[in-house]
Amino acid sequence: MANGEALEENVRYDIIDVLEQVKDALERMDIDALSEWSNHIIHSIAIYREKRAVYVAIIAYSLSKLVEKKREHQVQKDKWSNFIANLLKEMVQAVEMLESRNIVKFDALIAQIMKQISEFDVSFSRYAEEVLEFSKVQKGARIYEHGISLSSIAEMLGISKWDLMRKVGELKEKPEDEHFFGITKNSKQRLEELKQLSKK
Amino acid sequence: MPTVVVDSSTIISCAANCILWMFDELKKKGFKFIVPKGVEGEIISSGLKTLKYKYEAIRVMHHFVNKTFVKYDKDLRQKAGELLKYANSSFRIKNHYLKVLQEADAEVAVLAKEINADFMLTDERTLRLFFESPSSLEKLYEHRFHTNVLVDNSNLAKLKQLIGDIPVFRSVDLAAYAIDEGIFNLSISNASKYDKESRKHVIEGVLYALRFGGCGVSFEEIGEYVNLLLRNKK
Repeated sequence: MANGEALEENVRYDIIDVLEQVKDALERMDIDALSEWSNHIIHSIAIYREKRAVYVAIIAYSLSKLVEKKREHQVQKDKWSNFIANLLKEMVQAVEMLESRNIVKFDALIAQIMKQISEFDVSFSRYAEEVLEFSKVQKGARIYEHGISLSSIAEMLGISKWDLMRKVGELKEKPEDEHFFGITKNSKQRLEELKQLSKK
Repeated sequence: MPTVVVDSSTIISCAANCILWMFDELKKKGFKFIVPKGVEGEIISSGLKTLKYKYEAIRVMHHFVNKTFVKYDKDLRQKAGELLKYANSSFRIKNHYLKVLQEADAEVAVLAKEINADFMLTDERTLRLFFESPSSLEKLYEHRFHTNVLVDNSNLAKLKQLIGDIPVFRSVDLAAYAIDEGIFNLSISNASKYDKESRKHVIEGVLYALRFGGCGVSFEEIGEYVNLLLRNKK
């Protein structure tokens, strides 16, 4: 965890905004909005390398997955309601802590939220991939789309490059992918160049 | 024959698709594949720590044992640090320098220059673009961050001095070359017992598998390779 280190003002505003939106989306159980807000903060992560932004993105994405799983699996109604009520309360507290610049308490609360999500996931799911780890890899692939190297992302998120590459390979091509893949030569040129070099 | 510096991303794509044997075959043709110490750690040590990738790491290990991949033991951290300093202060967004590369990336680039390698292999798009076209990186950042990107040309120039003009290729390019050289002919011949279009299937199968394994290549480029390799039949 970031343990009370200073927080850039731009990022602080960004995190407050995202936490408020995530709280609203969670109240509505809106899976798409939760997932979308987890991407909203990717710019802050890529530019500022701010771990707290990473954690908030992971929390938002994990919650979208948990709500999705909850629709498919039986969960005790009381258990789920308590879990969500606690999270909503903690999100309000997290925003208040950031607004009053109480970064040390904010860091501790975020760690607690992540622990709760992880424990809840284990208690009702037999999925092979744990939701927090899955979310880290998913967000890592998103950061890669922004032009940060795989090794940097693996180090920043504490994930394996093996996982990250597999996820990057699943990214879909979009019309703007001319930038994404950085096509600088055509395949014929590359093959000819390789043949020349192999004769050395 | 060429001396090639290999990045972890290329080894991971090939290991995930069980085609590390391609490097053994190229070694027989005289290719020398050198891997920096940090990269070896990224693949083997990190793989061994997880149950999911332990066996893949062991398979990679085998190619270090048989000397297809040769580990470069000399400490490259100082030079890599210098390279990182320039690479990570070349592009600025919202008054912040983008930290785009990491030590293992820098070690690959430094080693390629240090041993005067003939080329470098990386499936990592960002590292490749630093060599091939930093202006494409600028376009990528502008497109992704929806904002102006300030480029520090002086730092980019210093970086260019450090990395030189070493050509960069990906696993997909190497596999296309290997197919063209007949290295996959046995696979093609075996598959032909099932399907008369076996050459096309093997070419597409190998190249798309690498793409889905994380290699930074577009479908358009793969399509070009498929047509090219079908025409160049050996």
